Amino acid sequence: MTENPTDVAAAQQSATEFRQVHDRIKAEVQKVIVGQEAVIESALTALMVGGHVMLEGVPGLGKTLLVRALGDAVDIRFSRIQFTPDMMPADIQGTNVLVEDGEGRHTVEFQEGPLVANIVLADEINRATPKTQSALLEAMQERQISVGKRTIKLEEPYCVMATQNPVEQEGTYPLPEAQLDRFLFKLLVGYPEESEYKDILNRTTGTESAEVAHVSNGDEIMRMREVVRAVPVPEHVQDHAVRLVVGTQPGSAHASELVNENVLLGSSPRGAQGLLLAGKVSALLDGRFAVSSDDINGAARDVLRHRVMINFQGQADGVTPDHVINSVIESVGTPSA
Amino acid sequence: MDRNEFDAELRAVARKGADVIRGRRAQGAAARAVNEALHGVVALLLGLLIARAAGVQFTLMQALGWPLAIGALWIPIRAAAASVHRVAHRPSLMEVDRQLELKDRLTTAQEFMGNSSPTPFMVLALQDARDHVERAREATLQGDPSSWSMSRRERLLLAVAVTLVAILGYTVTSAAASDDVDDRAPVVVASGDADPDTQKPPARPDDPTPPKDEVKEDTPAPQGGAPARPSKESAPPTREVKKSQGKTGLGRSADAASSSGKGRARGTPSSQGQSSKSGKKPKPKKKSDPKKRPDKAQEADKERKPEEQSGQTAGRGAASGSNKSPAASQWSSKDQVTSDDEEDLEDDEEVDDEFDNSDARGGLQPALRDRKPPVNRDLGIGFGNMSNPDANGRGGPGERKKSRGVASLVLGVPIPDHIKGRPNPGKTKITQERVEPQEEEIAADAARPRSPRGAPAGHLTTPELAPWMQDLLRTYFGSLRKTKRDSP
Repeated sequence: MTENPTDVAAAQQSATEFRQVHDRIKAEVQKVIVGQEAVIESALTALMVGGHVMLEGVPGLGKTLLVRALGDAVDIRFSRIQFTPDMMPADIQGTNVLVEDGEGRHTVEFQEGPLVANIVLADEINRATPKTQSALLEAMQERQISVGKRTIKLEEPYCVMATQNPVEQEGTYPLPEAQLDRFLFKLLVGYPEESEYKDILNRTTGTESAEVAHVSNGDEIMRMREVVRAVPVPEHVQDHAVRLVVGTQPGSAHASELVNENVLLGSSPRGAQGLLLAGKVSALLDGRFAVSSDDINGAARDVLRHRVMINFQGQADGVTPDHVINSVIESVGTPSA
Repeated sequence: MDRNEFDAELRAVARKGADVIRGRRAQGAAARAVNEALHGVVALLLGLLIARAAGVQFTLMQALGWPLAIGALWIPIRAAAASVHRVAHRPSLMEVDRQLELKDRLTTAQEFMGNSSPTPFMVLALQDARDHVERAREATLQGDPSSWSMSRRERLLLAVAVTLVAILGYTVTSAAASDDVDDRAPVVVASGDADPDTQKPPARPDDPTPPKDEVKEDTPAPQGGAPARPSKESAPPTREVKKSQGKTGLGRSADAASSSGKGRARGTPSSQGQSSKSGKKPKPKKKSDPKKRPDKAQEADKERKPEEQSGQTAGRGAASGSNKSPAASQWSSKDQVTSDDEEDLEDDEEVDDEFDNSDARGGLQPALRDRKPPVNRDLGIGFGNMSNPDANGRGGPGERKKSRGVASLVLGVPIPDHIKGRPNPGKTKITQERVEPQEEEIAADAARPRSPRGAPAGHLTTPELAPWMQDLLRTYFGSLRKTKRDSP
């Protein structure tokens, strides 16, 4: 075994720095967001690993505010797109516009859309038509935009944080599975605790308003991403993650009875990738240097929730993706004898 | 702590985890062994019971000792066999990690130890595991807390085993008691002038219970050499007795007595059959014990076969031969039992009730009464000059009249019941009339507030959902309402 003490010390230092950066950003976001600690943690995790986040919750729970605060805490380009049914792909990607120069001559120039940023808040993404939603696909997966003959490479860190309202479904266009699969997490934003209401009221109805300062920047985020990627995953933990993903697929070897009866479509391999990446961040935040199966289990709901499609029978029986994932975790179990 | 020392520590911890896993395996194997032992004990006991019935002699201790000893030994043997298997290091360390909530630190360390070129994070993970391995060595691991419980199947097997033990014990002890009685029997027999046949048991002391056939055959022998008819006073009337009653008209209803000569034709052969069969077997038990119907029904069937064959030659076939409907003959040729039952249906309702149920066939066939031949629609005159007794203008013998209209009034003219095809509807004629619109006086209805509708809306022409869709929707909205109720 050859180990370089310098490298080991640097790795330990980078792991410590990761926790510090994470805690700084989290503390800054928590200046404006009361509670929702798990949602903040997961959103930060997605930012640290380069994933996209779907936030789902009823209006008034601070989804937009959370993403805005995250964008403010990190000194990177932040843009917000309010999706509407009449929005076209050119509205978010950019288009050629006629520009008049100082001499009165007109030229056609490409004007970038709001998709060209580091953190993109796609507010009420399900209100846009599938055509416009599809314009996000390339940006989310390839980190580039193709408009006509022009291809624009998006600057890293790049993260799309979308929100949607689960109750107002009239006049909306549910996201296609291909696009849902590109989100690393689907986070359910719930109502705050009763004890948190007073704090929310004090912060929002007084004269003073909390301001979020830049406590990190894009370069630091990119460095943290490298730290996350360096965390090793033991073989048995990889097996566990694979079994979890396969367990969501009906008819597979690890599928439980609940899955076989109520699931139409299981998770793709992207689900396993997301499990490992989220597990790495979880291990680093816990002060460990390797991913454990508990880290995988902890991230399973957020990672697999939007990748599991419930069939009609399951919907009629009130089966939710979280029920399915819980049953898969239970049936697959922690790797042991 | 250097690498070798850490490796040794990991192995020691792995041994602790392996002990827990072995204990769990032994527990599981013991639970399975109980199940298997119960199966084995039940099988052995059944075998012993069969052997006992075949005449093999053994004591109660011999009978119960082996099954119980083998069953009791099987459990520790299986448990020991399961626990001697080697447990790998990884699952052992996983068990330790799980019990001490070490987040896979030891398992990960064991895996990273085998890596020849570890990354800095792997080295850090190993260092992290070193801090926890000491605690793991000192900690006491717990076995599987889940207690073993018998499944429903195992409880059933246990009950069967206990029952078999009781039966076997009773059989062996009662046989021993009868042996004692048999030992005393020769003394009693030798003191009197007994029939030589009654001395058979002492001649075969190892067979305490002679076969039932011998007992049955021996019993009537002293009463006389010729088969005796059972007395009418002591036995209820049998089928043959009833048929003979039909001959004289006694015991039959007025309808039966006023029927055609068919009944008379049957009376004669049945009396013949009675005299030939009564010597074979006593009949009176047929009516007195209806629960023994299946066995008796088979015997009766066997007896009726030759009677039927002889009866057809003796004139009974003349009545049935008058039915020249091909359908009826086809049915009777398909199933002889059906025709037999059909005759019984006409002859005697009480006997039919016993014969007709599906228990007589072991429940394998539907009720034979339902398998009647199709209705005889033959309205012909008959064979040559002989009149057809069934051609009485009715739809069939004994059935409701099927023909309608004039055809039913004209005897011997076969006319189908219904007209095939459909009548010509004719041409459609449309007449148009010119009517000038006329004014009508209608009083203007003043606007006023209207109350909500109180009467039912009437029939709504909405498409009816399939039952499964209705169930699905009912379940769906029920679950919706339940979710709303449960949510705060």
